[in-house]
Amino acid sequence: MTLRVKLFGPQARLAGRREIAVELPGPAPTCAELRDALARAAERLAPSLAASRFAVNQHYVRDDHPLREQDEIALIGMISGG
Amino acid sequence: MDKTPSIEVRLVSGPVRAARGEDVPGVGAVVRFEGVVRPVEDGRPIEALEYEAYEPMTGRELTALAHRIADRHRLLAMRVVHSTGRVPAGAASFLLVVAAEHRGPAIRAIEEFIDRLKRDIPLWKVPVWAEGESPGADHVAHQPDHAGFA
Repeated sequence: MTLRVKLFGPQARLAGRREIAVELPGPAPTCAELRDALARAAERLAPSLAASRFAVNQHYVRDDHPLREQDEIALIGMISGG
Repeated sequence: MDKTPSIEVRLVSGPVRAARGEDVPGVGAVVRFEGVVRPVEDGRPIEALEYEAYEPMTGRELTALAHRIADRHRLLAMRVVHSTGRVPAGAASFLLVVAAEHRGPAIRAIEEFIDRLKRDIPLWKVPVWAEGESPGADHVAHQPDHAGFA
């Protein structure tokens, strides 16, 4: 399935785009699998991925969270409010 | 103390401007923190910072954090205002005001809120360098005010 991941701030700048599409096999890949796929799809994001979290449909989820193609997925990393 | 604290959370487009004073019954300490955009980042002069939020998640997480901190430190009131969009160097991008009966909880609440903000809240900033480099493809569109989502 194709998953679309929203990028923000420094990570969007590193990737050179606001959204990245990733192909993953299986009916319900997890966020952990998505993290690995993102590292392959956008190498410049790789160093920041371990300390990043995912939000699915606007809520933080754990790495074992199963993903669906219609989910709104956001990469929440390199945050720096204040 | 079993009063419900007064919580206000807002995201505003552009710099955070001076706010009113606190008028909370029973207050004994008011601590105010302002985050100001430094003119130099990583040794390079900057013109501004571009702040970005992921709404409505950012506002919801900020509000939840404010309630957790207010409950833990038994605050009487808390006010949080954070910028989105461009904030020039020297201008404030973040205002946090807490009111409590005593100074200890108020000071601890400020420190804990900021630590959690930087760790958990989906807010980002990207420098706009003074040498003229533009935000380019990552230019963060200014967002409208989001008052009243709490």
